[in-house]
Amino acid sequence: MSKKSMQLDVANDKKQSGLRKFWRSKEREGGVTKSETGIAGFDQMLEGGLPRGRATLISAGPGCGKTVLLNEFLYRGATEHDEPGIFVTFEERPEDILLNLRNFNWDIDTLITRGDLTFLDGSPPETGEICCGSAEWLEPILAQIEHLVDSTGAKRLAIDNLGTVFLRYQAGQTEVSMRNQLVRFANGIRRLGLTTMISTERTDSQASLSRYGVSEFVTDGLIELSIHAGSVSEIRTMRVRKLRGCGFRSGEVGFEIDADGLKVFPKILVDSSFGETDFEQRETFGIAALDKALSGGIPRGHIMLVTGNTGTGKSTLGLHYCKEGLDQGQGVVWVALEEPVGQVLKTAQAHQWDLSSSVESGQLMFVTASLLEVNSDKLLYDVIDAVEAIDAKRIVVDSVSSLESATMSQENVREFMMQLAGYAKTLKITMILNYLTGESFVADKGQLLGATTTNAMRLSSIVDGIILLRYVERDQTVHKLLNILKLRGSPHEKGIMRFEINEYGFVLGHQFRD
Amino acid sequence: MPEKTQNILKLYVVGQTLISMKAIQNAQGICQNELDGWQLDIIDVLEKPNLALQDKVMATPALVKAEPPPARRVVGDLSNRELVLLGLGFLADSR
Repeated sequence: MSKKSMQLDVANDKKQSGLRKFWRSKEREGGVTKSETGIAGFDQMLEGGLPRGRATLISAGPGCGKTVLLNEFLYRGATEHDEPGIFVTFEERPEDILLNLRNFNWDIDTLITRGDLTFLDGSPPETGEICCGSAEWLEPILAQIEHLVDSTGAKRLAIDNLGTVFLRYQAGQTEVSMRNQLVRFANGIRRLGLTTMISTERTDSQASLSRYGVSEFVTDGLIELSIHAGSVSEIRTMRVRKLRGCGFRSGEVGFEIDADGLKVFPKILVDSSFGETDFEQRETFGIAALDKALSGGIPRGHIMLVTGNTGTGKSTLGLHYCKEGLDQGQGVVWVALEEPVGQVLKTAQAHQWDLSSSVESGQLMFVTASLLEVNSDKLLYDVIDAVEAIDAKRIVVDSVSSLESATMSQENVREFMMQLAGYAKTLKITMILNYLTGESFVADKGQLLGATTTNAMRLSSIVDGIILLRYVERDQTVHKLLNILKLRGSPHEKGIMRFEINEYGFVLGHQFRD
Repeated sequence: MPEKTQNILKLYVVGQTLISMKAIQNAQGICQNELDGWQLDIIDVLEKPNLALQDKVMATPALVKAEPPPARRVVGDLSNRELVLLGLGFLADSR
């Protein structure tokens, strides 16, 4: 590793302490090392990057984004890691690729001028090409790549797409000879020491290496890209199938392509080694009676579920928690899935709380999502980005149940919550999750809990505490009740308390007697 | 006949493999017997990869006619004489 890139690594580590540490899988001395690609989220999925000096196969159908992935791999290498790259294209002409790349916020032309990005044009000649008898492609291509490596000092290589080469020059040859060629090609690349991405079409295509049953074990890594039709937009996913000698995050991982390139949203590992909770440190609501009932507030780093029917005051309680955090100088992230941000600000205004100025000063940050098409992986990263942007200590999610009513299944929501909870705990962020339960309206006498302990309880193992908000109809009036069902590792008020919401917010009263 | 040797056919090969030797032999035969005033340059890609880059040669053996236009190329061991002439655009001319 050069001195410059080592400094870069140190700088990156500093920039992203915390989570970064357990995003990297262990590298052992003398074993395969990883090369950070620089693509957002991609390295986390790969637990550090691609195997250095080796070839990884990118298998994808048309329109899955493999050309963008390959190009960003080279772009990030040249701009962020001091690793010039070579792009070998067997399909599109370099001019056409450039035309597409200029739509991104990347200064590709400067890279080319500086010699940090070089195209090797292997696209079919316009005038055509006649094949007559057997031909050899491997040696000449490797010789030209080697020549370019010598003249540019390239460290990265992208080949798009190798399957078409087989189609062009080896159609009709036996599977064994194809296999040998691919083995020799992978060995040739390894000899040149280039960290390489090779693209190939998905199985059903003629230009697919997978047809020969070789790609899986010949290359050192295999990543599959897919695209599924969603009800509003396309949903892109990728999956690491293999990364020889290296650890990686398994499972299907969502990604998006925008003007900055790819954004990959790998699952966040739920780290079981959270530090012990210091029950001395509490986050308060600023509602004296409630904080007292909680023995001083929510223990720092805990996750509190606030559940109740519509209109019981979940959002108001969340606003209290948010306002109190802001007053203490903490950063707060509000995940607004229930109401538009403007509505939340207005509600706060009604209680004389000016949240707008906190938004302007960057102490409060809202995260929103279109509930028509929630991408849970993206939402998770939006929250993480917001938390890191303002160094938040509190998160309010209003509400988790609206995720369920959107496109996410209950299992999805549970997985999302587990990841968010794991993240929050690692950074000792104290989080409030609002959860709407429909069954708690007008509880009968003697059935105060009854059906309320249903859906929300599925989240019980994830959360550390549960506050239940309810209505009860007595003497021609609807009373509002609050009780604390759970507060892990801490004593708490067991009684059912009446409360009201007035212009000052939450007012907690005496114990309810039926 | 200096004016007649201005036209150049380039034959790209890799090393001295069996295929290379066969293609060189075939190309020389075609130049001598079928074409008048064409010079055959034999280029080893391993020695001059930059020339292969310029001519965008992705597979060898490759017989390349760059000038005069139109540019044409035939890839393979060049064993089928008629196909080679057709591929280079000579057969159509002679008809």
